[in-house]
Amino acid sequence: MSEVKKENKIDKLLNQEMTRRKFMKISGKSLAGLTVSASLLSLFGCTQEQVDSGAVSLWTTPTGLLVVNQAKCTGCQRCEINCTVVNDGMVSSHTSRVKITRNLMSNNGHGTYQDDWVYYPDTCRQCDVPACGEACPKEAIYADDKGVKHVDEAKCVGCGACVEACPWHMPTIHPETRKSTKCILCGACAEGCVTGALSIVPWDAVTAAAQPTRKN
Amino acid sequence: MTIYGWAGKILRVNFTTGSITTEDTMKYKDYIGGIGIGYKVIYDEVPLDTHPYDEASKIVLAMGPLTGTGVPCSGRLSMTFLSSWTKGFSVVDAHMGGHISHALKYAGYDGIIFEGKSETPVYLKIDDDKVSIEDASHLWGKGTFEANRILVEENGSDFDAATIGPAGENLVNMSCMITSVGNAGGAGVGAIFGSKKVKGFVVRGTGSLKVADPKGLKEVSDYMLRELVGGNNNHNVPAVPQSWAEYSAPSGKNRWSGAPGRGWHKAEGGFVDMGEQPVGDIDKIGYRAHKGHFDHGPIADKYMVKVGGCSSCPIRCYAQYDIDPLAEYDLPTKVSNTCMPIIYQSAWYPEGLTDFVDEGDANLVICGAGARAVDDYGLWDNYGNIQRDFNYLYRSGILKEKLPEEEWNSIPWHWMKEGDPRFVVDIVRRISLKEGEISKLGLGTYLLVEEWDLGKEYFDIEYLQNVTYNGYPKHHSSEDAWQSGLLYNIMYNRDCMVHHITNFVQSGSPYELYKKILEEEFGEGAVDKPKHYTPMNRAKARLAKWAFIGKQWHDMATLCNWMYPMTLSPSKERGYKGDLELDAKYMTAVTGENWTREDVDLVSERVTNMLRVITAISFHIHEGSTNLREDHDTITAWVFDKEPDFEPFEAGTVKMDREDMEVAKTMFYEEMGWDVKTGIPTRETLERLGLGYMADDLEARGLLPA
Amino acid sequence: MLFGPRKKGFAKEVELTDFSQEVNEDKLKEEEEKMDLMDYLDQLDEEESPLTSEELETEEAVEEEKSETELLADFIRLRSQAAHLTAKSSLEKEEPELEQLLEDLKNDEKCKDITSIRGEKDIYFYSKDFMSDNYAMIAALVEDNNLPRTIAEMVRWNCKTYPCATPLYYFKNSPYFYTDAQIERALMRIRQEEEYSDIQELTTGNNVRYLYSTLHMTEKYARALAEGVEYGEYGYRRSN
Repeated sequence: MSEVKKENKIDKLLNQEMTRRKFMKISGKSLAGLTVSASLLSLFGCTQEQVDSGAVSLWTTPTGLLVVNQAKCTGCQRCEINCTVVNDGMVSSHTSRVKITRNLMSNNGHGTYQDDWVYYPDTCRQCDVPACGEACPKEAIYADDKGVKHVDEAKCVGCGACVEACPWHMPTIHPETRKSTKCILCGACAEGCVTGALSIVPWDAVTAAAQPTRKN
Repeated sequence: MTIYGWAGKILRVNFTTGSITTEDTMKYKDYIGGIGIGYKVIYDEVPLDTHPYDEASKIVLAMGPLTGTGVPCSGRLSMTFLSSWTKGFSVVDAHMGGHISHALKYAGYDGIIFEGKSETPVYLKIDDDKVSIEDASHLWGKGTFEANRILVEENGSDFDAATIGPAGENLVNMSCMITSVGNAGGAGVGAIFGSKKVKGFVVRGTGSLKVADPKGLKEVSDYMLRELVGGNNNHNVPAVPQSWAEYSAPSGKNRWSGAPGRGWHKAEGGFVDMGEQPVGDIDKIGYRAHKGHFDHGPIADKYMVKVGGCSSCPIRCYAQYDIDPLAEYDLPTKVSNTCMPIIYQSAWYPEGLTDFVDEGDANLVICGAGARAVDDYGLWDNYGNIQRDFNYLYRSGILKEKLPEEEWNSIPWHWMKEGDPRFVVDIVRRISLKEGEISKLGLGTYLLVEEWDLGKEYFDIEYLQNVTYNGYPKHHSSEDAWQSGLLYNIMYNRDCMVHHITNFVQSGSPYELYKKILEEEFGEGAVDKPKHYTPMNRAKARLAKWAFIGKQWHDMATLCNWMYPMTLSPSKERGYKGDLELDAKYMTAVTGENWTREDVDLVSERVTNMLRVITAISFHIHEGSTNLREDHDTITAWVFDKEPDFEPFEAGTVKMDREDMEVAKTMFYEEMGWDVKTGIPTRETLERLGLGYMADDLEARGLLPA
Repeated sequence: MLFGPRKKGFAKEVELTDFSQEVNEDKLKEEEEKMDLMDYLDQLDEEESPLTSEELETEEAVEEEKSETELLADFIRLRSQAAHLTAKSSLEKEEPELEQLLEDLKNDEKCKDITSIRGEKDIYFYSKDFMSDNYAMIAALVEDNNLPRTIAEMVRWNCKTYPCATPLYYFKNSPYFYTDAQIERALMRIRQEEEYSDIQELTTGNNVRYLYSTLHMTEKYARALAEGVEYGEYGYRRSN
């Protein structure tokens, strides 16, 4: 590899890291009141109106920007199926690390049985300072070199402190192993989402799409 | 030993004694699941002279090994029971989608046997292995929407619910059960639950289903999603030209109707454009089905919020509407449905409809009102027969003759004439609450003809669409699938619900293309040109058998017959050929046993013959019949007499020929291994399928063919 | 017709309330204050300094620079992916050396997916990886913008290929998006001109108009097919 090309590559990665840092500042916060450029909207697969209405959430993850668009979630539960078949080799709604079923029927006055179709998959935010990890008495939740939080099953005693501590109760005690289990950002849920309601946009794509809006 | 695919237990609840027990599913393994378990339990445990509303009557709700394992389009369950409304009062099944079948399997059950009768209204609560019978007096009389909502609120947001409405409670034969707002199981199951004073059930399942080869399962699923699956009804070309596609359906009457510029105007945050959905793009498959547009044209987009459907299914065939013109009439505006309720309510308005806000919106608004009403009251429409009976009897003046004058005058006919959506709601209420003589429409066509003395010739009226004299209409019959379609239409004790052939005929693909694919499979002459059919031949008999037994497979597995089998594919690289081995591949990955297509066919044939044997015994008991060919499989006259300008076999007609259809029946019975004179399975066939005990039974009753 | 003028005598008249065109001070202010997402992100305090270049050392291969022909192919692919043909005339405006470039393109192993279709007025390029030949045929007809010819060609093709009669509403869908008035004008010319004499019209029981070509089917058969589509399984539903 020539030096010039190597330099370019490093520049590119630096830019991506800067983009990620920028988005981290608003991870999970409402975007209402902001305008989003056309190139970013097309990347997120949403419209400005959906951003304004609060239907879209963005979450910063180590591998990309996680976009959840509840206007597009049709409740098929394939995210939960793919999560568990890939990670557990069995199929379950309860153990899934992405959670739609609990929102599908009835969620705070919304859902299938509340006469509207407002539901969405809850996802792990891979918090920089994870409440789950902080709460674990056995320090069984650790971050890998990319910042993805994992459960060390050897240390986990299945006490459920992480489940309680997480504001969104995303970790789950697996009913059979009696160990905590949580999202490790494998991406199976988003890859299998049949309406693109759940997607992970890689940082290089976000970085590239963010460029044209820069003033310089 | 670990069981893969099956949850392992069947729940048995007796509402007379309150006993709740479980038993090993594996004792039914020869029958796989769903209706297979259903037929076996009904045959073994319910004497076929039992009245469906008696204490001895049972409902067998069951899923198969593929449901809940993540196999796409597997979010279904079957309910098997004795019919209260058809000639012979034999076995029927209802099929229900939604999300509750998955929940039941995660809770650890492959099925529930509902037996006995409660004194007071109750519901069944299933919270994993904690199962209880709960008081439902506060729910009795309530519509399904409210009852399901209350049940989920009372029990917890991770529960799902299914209930019957007032129609079932009041023992209206034409009644159903509803889950997930608008997913219905029909065929009269509502009243059977009602007779047991069971409002419904709630489930929470926190367990998991074991899969023998998860990696293999994921691979087969992804392969299906990338290469095989099409749109709704597995139509394999889009309705509107898409840039990647070679073909589209010029008429647009094809169910892959999501297209650029079409979508949901009432979506949260504004219009969602369904765009193009190229083969291989998994994240766009959900935009292929746009049933709203298929049913109601462009006006549907204006009121659509989203699409929906069953667990695990990428084809979202439910159109979910917020039809605000209904608010003007104090009617609910939220409607979610895919089937007859959202298509066929204008038949309640024999004098026509008037548009509401935009040109061409009358049918949509009326269907919205009607769908919501029938689903809330839990009224089943027998694939449109109830509407057609009403419409015809009104137009012919018979209805006025049959109704007492006072009752006639109490009906808001002005609403009907004005096209007011409250009219359909009013009539649905009267039928569901058994109010007055008009509610006899809820008996079902067969008993209505008896009750009002309408005569056998009533079934011969073309408009009414009755395919036999047994009380149910055709369901994608000869008009799509020539003799083959008509053959499987007359095999059941309800409308046939077989979609094998209509799915490729209506796919939008060029005729020559699918003909070649199907003829490779079934032989030359298997497939006729649209609206230009040819005399019966052996290949068509094989095709009919494939479709007939295949439908039973889907209700055993349990898979959606609107989607399976994957006969065609949208992929040019595959030459548009689907994969008929797919179901076996799923069985292998899920169960860890080596399944082939022949294995699938064998169990399908076994369960199909159980249906036939049970039907023969019921017809013997109730009709004194010893011949199904003559007493069950009789085709109504209009099928042969319609379209007087055409001769059978002429280009442009599907008018059938009497002699040719008798040839067709004979060939079909031969393919099935049934006696050609009586249409009853021979001992040889039953022995081959492991049903020797049924042959013995037939013999003891004097029904076994010589 | 979804947003067309409403006919008189409809059950309900709706008053349209649309403030979007009005000058509304609050609205203007709101627009002014609305900040671009990326500007907003820049303005927020940095949480941590980004990783250093050392931390990002990588041995991943860097993409090779692309040749002119490959760039052109990429451009055509991108347009094909978005369902657009690329007209030769439009390339000519931007590429002085177009002929040479196209010659290179033809011989480039990496660009075998790029092909073209000759329309009445132009040559159109597309990538076979993203666009089917049949769609390119339709898209070229649409680009040529000769409506009578487009309608006649597609009616014939549909009659021959599927076989089926073609409803007029087919031409209101993607990618045609013709208006009723455009279709009527085209039909007038089709009725008058000799080269289109095989194109005939029929109306189904629910008043839906269909076209078919007598080169490929009889009136009786075309009618049966059209009625079959409109009547369907459940009877007539729409009448657009």
